[in-house]
Order: sequence, then structure tokens, then C-alpha cells
Amino acid sequence: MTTMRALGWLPWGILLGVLAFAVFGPLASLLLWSFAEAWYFPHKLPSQWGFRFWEHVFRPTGRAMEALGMSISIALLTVVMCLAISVPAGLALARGRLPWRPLIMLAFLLPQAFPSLPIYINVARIFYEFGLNGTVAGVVLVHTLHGLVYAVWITTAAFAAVDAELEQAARNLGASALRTFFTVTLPLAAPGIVASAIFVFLESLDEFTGSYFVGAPEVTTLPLLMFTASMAGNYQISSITALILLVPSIAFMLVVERFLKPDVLSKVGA
Amino acid sequence: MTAAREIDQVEVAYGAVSVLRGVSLDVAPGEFVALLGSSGCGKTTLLRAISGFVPVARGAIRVGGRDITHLPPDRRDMAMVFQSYALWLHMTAAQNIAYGLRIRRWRRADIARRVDEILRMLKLEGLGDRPITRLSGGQSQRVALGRALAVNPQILLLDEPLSNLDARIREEVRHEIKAIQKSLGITAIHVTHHREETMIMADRIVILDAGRIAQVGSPEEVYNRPASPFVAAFMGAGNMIRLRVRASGDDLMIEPEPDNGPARIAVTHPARARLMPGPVTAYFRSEQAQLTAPDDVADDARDLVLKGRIVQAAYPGGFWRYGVDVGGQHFLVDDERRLEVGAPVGVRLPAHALHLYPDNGP
Amino acid sequence: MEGRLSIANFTKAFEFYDRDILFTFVIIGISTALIGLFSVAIGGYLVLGENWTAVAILAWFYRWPLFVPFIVEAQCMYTFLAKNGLMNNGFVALGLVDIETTQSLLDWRGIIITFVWKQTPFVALMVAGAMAALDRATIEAARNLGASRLRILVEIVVPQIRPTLIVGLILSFVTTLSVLSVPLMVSGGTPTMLTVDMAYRINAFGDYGVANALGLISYLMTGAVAWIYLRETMRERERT
Repeated sequence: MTTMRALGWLPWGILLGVLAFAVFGPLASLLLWSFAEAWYFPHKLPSQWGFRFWEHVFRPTGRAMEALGMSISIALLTVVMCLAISVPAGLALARGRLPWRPLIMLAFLLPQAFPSLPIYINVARIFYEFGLNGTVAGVVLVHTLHGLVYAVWITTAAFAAVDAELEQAARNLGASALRTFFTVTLPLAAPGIVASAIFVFLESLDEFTGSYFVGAPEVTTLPLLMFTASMAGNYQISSITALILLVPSIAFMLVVERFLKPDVLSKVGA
Repeated sequence: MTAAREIDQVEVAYGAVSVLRGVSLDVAPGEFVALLGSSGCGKTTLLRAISGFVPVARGAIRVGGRDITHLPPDRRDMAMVFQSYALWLHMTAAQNIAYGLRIRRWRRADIARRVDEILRMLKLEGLGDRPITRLSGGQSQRVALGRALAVNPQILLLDEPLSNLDARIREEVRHEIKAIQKSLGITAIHVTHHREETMIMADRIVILDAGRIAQVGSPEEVYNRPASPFVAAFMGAGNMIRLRVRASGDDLMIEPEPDNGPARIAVTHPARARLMPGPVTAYFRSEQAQLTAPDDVADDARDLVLKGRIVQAAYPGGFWRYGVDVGGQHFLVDDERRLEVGAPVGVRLPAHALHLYPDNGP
Repeated sequence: MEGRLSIANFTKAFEFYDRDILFTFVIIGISTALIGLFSVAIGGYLVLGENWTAVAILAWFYRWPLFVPFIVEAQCMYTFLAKNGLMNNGFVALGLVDIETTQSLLDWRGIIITFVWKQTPFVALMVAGAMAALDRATIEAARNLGASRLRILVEIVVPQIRPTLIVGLILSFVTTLSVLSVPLMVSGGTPTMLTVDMAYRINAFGDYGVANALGLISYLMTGAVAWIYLRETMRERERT
């Protein structure tokens, strides 16, 4: 009976193993390369391990740290820009009876519904005429354009998930509209708004195409640096840079469920 | 015909929580059995254990002598009607009904004939091509029933199938389901929390309480001779008073006390025979109580008279409903006369309306 | 800008890049089909699986790639799929292939693998969510009538979550159609995808005309897919 059961497990074990290799293999490759000081054919694994390249990347005067600082500044500015638009817009879309509501929601979705690359090349051209090409402001604007989709949709869902009766109860007890917003609506919607902010931050941090057309070569973000290093054959440098980009995303995956509750998720797009 | 099913000491647990604690039940072929109980009593769990959707921790379920306890649900040859109907919205009514036949690899012509037959039997003629979303609640319910009946199951399982219907339609459907079940001779097991529904539909009622069977019996038995205070209260005898009894020949005598007169109780069934002299609790239905004079003494002490005072009066229409206080307890009694609040009254209860149980302390 | 979009640009676009247009369409088409297949399989197993340990393990790791940025993933695959990359090394170590016959997958196959790796969890997450939201009784009813689990997945579950699956696949289609980093890094050679061609037209020649013509072609592909979606929703509306 137990052998039967063990045999019954075998195909599932193998299948799960194959899947696990498919999912984690590429990530393992990245991890190995970032600690490999030498990895030549026909060695199956690196022949020399070490932190030499880490030191290289994290050298205070190194271009990587500069790019990391640039990427984080751009991402933070993008978050501020997005929230400045998405909070009022989300509240209006969730609560107000706007006549063109479905159309407005759709308009915010459009950048996502069409391939973004053709948009970026034309944006880059317009920016060139305004002298925005190769400036931080230009890159922030492009990232904002891209991040707004997530910001508006998630923020709207977060506000929609706040039961209107909770606000009415506060109003009924004598709270002003503004006070109700700050003491009832905003605290309840906060997890969703934080989630959208993190989303926008990560999207900006990892954005490649827009930065490539609008920012390069004057503005070097971390993804651009990674790309350059990789194309130049510096696998260690590009792997370590990729790892730096990966860590915040993985950390977000582990906590995302705390911010994006099912009740908010079910309101996305509704 | 050996489709008798037997449920033997079945136990089911969700994690550490036992839901069924040793339930045993035999069901005869062609019988209509209702599992009745309040929510959380384990009735739905028992039905799901029978259909194979919850694993049985201990015990066995047999059909016609064959042990099916560990068979997967798709190999049990039972058809279930779900509370939500669980109709597939991406299929028409006829496709829903035909599904079980397609699984059984019936020929297309045979399926068409069978579906027509079912539609006719359930008065759904002409609705076969309708999408499910365009059916009324009652029609959906019939399609769900038809889907289950189409495969000629040995056993029909009904999981609160009427709870989503309007009161008026529900009334009709009760009788219809019962008639169809009788005419097809299928064994049916019906789960519900609706007392009246089981009384009308079932041959036998199984009352469940906290994962155990509280009583099994015909509708008439469980109504008139509830085996425990729980069953009495569940079957509508929700008023409780404490009394004292002593033996008197073959009968029991209720001793007169400040709040009640004497009464003689005939020992008519086993539950009463188990009573020992001493304190008892008595359960009764409001509708069997009558108002009378406070000093009324029944002939031969056939009836029990409680002494109380009217504390509340309301007129729901056609009669008055009085709240009567008896020794600090509050009962509702209906009467056609107009009486003053504060007036002393007697509450007269026929001896057969009293369900007596040993008093195991407060 | 639109004014400079003349027929000439399109003629040029087709003349130079007809192979890449077809290549792009085929790559994305195959990727989308595989993504659909895998995400239904994963979602289906998560909902219908009876081995709770296996379900829990799968639920834990299938979504990891979702959170890996495209650019990071391109770098991962660039080293993973190479001739002497970790994948081939693993196969050699297991004795599945000979060390002399390993081949690099850094071409169209690499692009497909990368897209499927990245987008399957996204669609699977949507699909699994929709499947979990189904009235569980509709699955049990089929089970009760004797349907096997594979049959339930195909006949009962997938038809009910079809709209979600289609939305997920369309979003995935559009996303993969506009990714530049993956074809740029994973597949260096020709034929290549339209995104790379557009970048090349601009970086090498500053030729916005042909680049926009190519952009419009990728919009037309999106439009075709959007049309499928609209037709599907109309049909859905009609039925209810």
C-alpha cells in the first residue's frame, strides 16, 4: 500500500521537479553568474567563486551606484506624479457619477491595450523638440504615462471597495466631507493605494523601453546599465545588476497579498 | 431490488473539528428520507459524505451491500440536486439535462429521446433550447432536477433544493417532487432545515443535532412524540416549564404547585415510560394552549392548568395574542376574547400536548 | 507626424521587414497559444487537484516569474539558454543530451520560452482566480454525474472562465508585442521582431516614417485581436 502510494507520487514528483527547474533554473543561472569569477566551457558550474564583481559594482564611485541612485530618484518622482493624479481621479471615478466613466477608465487603459513601443518613439520625438530628451524630467514623464494605468485602476478599485455607507455614517454623525475623506475613506483605501504606489515604483524601476528611447544615453538607469553590460559580455556585472533589480520585485511578491485584498481585486475594472 | 443503502457509524471531521460523530442509518429502496436540523448540525456534511465530496474518517457507506465509502464521487451512481442548482450557464437547458447521458456514452438519438421525456415529465416542453439565464427560478429548479433524474440514478440526493424558490412555487414543487419520486420508485435523501417541507415530503425524518442523530421516525412520530427536548423544541414545541411528577398506578400524576394545577398523564409511549418520579421539564406548542379561568380545574385532571397573568396583548388580526407570565416565564397564547393586561388567567394544556423529559438541573 | 506617413513608408516597411512581420506574428501566436495551454493546466490543477501537497507546492512556485521584470528575465535567459548555459549543463549532467550536441536556444525558441516563462503566471493567476470564483457546485454536479476531472476542466470549467482567459491572453499578446529587451537580448540574429526593427530604424537612421509604419502594423495585429475579443463579448451578451 505504501509502495503503491509512493509510486503514485512518482509522476507528480517528476512533473513538479521539471516545473520547478523551468521556473527557478533561469533565476539560478542569474544567481550563479553573479558569484562566478570564472565559468568556462566545459565546466558545468563556475570554477571560481567570489565577490570580486560585487565589489566592482558597489564601489561608491562606480557607475552602478550612480545608476541605482538615478533609478530610485526617478521611481520616487514617478510615484509622486502618479498618485497626484490617481488619488483624485480614482475617488472621482469610484464615487462620482461621471457621465463618461467607462470611457475614462478605457482611456487610462489604452497605453496598456496597445503596444507601447510605437508610443515611446513618438513621445521621444516630441520630447526632443521640447529639449526633454535625455533629461530626468523626460524619463519621469514617460514612466508616469506608463504607471498611470496601474495607479488609476488600482486606486479606483480601492476607493470602490470602501462601502459608501461607511462614509454616510460619518457624515450622518456630523463630519464634514473633507474630514470624512481623511478619517474614513482614505484610511480604508490606504492599503490599495500603497499597493498601487509600490506597483508604480517597481514598474518605473524596471522600465526599459521608454528609458531607452527617451533617456539614453544621457540618463543611465539601472536597466540601461544592465543592458549595456550584458551586450558587452560582462555577464557578472549584468547579473549582479539584474539581481539588484530583482530583489525589490520578489520582496513585493511576498507581501503583495497583505496590500491587495480580494475585495479590492474583485473591483478592478468593475 | 437491493438498492438499500446503509450508513454505518460514519464519522467526518474537518481538521480537528468533528462534524459527524458516528451516524448510522438504513434507508430502504424507494424511501424518501429527510435529514433535518439547524445549520451546522452536520446534515449537509452527511449528504456530501454520501455523495463522496467529503472524505469519511471512520465508518462505512454501503449501497445494496457494496461498500462505496472510498469511491470517488464520479463513480457512485447517485444524482444530486444542488441548493444553487449548479446549472451550467454555458449550456442550454437540454444540454444540461443531456450531460450525464453523454458521460454514459448514450447514442445521440437515445439522448434526444430521453431529454424530451424528462422535459415532458417536468413540464418544461419547449424550453429545451433556452439558455439557463433565461429561465425562471422554478424552471431552473426543474432543469436541475431533470439533469439528476435523466441518468436514472439509484439514489437521488436533494440538498435544500427548494430554498431559493418563492414561497408559493415552493408549495407546488414539494408535492411534485414527492409525486415524481414515488412514481419512479427512486430512493431519495433530502437535506433541509425547513420543518414543514420535510413533514410534507418525507416518509421518514432524521433529526440531526451536533453531528449525531437525535431521532428517526415518521413525520407523525417526530411531531407528536419527540424523543428529546431538542427534538421537541426543533419541531415547534418551544415553550418549556418545570413540573414535578409522581407515579400513580399505571399513569403519572403532575403534582399541583403554586403555578400549576394537577394533571394525569397516560404513559402512551416509551419516552414517557422512562420518566422517573421527581422534577421534569415539559415542552408544549403555543397553538395547543388555551386561556381559561385561573382557578379552572379540569375534569379528571385530564388537562394541565398553569396559573398566570396577562402581561402583554397584541391584535395580529382575527384573534388576540397574549403574553402570559407564569411564575416568571413568558408564554404566547392566542385567544378570541378581549382581556385586560394584568388580569389573572389560566393556561390550559391538554395532557397529550405535553412532552415530558427528566429534568437534569437548570 | 501622421502627415509624413505615406504609402512609401509602408512599401518600404513591407519590402525590408516582411519576414519580420510574419516572424513576429508567428512567435507571438505560438507563445500565446502555449501560455493559454499552460495557464489552463495550472489553474485547472489548482482548482481540481486532489493531492493537497502537490497543489500547495504548485500554488507556491508557479507565480514567481510574474514578479521578475522583463529586463531581468532577459538577462536570466541569456545565460540560461546559451549553448553552455545552465540548462544544457543540467541536461548533460542528467545524461539527457551529449555535451557535443548541445545547442544554443538563443533564437526564436528562446524568445518563445522567455515569453511563456514570464506571461504564463500572469494569465494563470487570472484564470485560477476566475476558476476559484466559480460556483463549486457546478463542478461537483458534473463530478456527481460521473465526469472525469479532465473532462470537467474542458467541458465545464474552461467554458465558464472563457472571457477571463481571453482577456488574459489578449493582455499578454499586447505585452509581448511591445517588449523590446527580450528579442534584443535573447535573440541577436535575424529574423527578429518588429520592436527591434523599430528601434533599429530610429537609432541607425532616425527614420521615423518606417518605424511608425511598423508601429502601425503592430497596432493592426492588436486590432485584429481586439476584434476577436469584441466578437466574443457580443456573443456572450447575446446568450444572456
